[in-house]
Amino acid sequence: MSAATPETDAGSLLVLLPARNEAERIPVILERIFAVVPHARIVVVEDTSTDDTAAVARRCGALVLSLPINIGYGGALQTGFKYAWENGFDTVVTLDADGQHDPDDIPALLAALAETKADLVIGSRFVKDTGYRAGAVRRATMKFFSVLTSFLAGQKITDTTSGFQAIGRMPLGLFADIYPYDYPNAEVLVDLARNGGKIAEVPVKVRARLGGTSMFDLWSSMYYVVKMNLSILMVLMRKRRHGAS
Amino acid sequence: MTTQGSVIVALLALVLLGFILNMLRKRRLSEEVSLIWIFAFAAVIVLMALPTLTSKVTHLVGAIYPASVLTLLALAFVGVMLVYTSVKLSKLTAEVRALAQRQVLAEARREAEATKAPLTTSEAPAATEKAAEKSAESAGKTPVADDGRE
Repeated sequence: MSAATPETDAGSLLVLLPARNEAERIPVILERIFAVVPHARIVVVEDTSTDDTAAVARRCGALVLSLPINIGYGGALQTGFKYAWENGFDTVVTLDADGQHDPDDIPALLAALAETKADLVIGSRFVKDTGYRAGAVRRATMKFFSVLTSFLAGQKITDTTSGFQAIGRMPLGLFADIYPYDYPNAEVLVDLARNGGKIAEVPVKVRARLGGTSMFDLWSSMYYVVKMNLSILMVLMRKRRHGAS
Repeated sequence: MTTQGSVIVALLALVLLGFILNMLRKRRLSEEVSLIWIFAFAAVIVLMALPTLTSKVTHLVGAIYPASVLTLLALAFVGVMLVYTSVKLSKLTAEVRALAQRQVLAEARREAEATKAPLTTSEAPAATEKAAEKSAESAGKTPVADDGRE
């Protein structure tokens, strides 16, 4: 084996995209990621798509993990975390495969991870005005959890629902061990902070999603608020897990 | 409780007991779970057959009518069984999820090993080591392949 493969150079990086029925949009994103972080391993966790997302992603050069059954967004993410943990990757960047997140922001996340010595960096829509606009209900919900999470974590966190994150080795161990299966947001951050993790944020642009429905309509956002509060309460009631690493 | 009432309740319990046993016979119910139901229906039949025992239990609970005691007990039992089922279901869901993840990761591992050392039919077994080296080299260049870290 040659002494330095491109991956070992940069402190191995894995870019993780959970994807479901994204065959049309995923090639553009993967191409961009390869251009921005050529040394990274790209892993697409494909969660029971009915289109040919897996084949398309594989053709683009990504490693595709095709789940046999639908195990939720968080479950798909955790599959990638387990892969990264078992294969010794140092850093994982997660982003959505639907084009919401701009791969061009990845270096900023990685730079923040290195500079701030944070364990997890959130690509936030709210650190400064990034042009992101949301409805009143959604905005209020996000604000509420931002305040609550910041208070409980003891660190200022403006965007608890962002799926655009850079994750270091310490949280990776925690997440590979236990991770919520549906929509992992605020409770994950509170749990991480309670286990001694440092969280930082960098501003990112978020494009309006192309089609598809957001999880925040009125009923589901009411369910979300109740469920998330319960999840956070449970995190607070459990014992600290002191790093699986 | 009237004799007529007791007989009807006992018969109902007997029918349900038969139903449970039949499910057990067809292996649609595990023996572990069926035991709980069998004991519950057997208890109802015993209570109906022994009116003195029923009235003692009624007195103990502080109720006036044996029927309301039976209703209370039945509700409590159904409630406990529902919670038990929910717990089992949550556990099963988590286990299935973990299994799916493990399966997909095992598959990835197997594929990575396969790309490292492909055993092509055209090559003699002696040549596989060379072929493996060659493919490992070429694999290092493609982003799909394993990164080759030890």
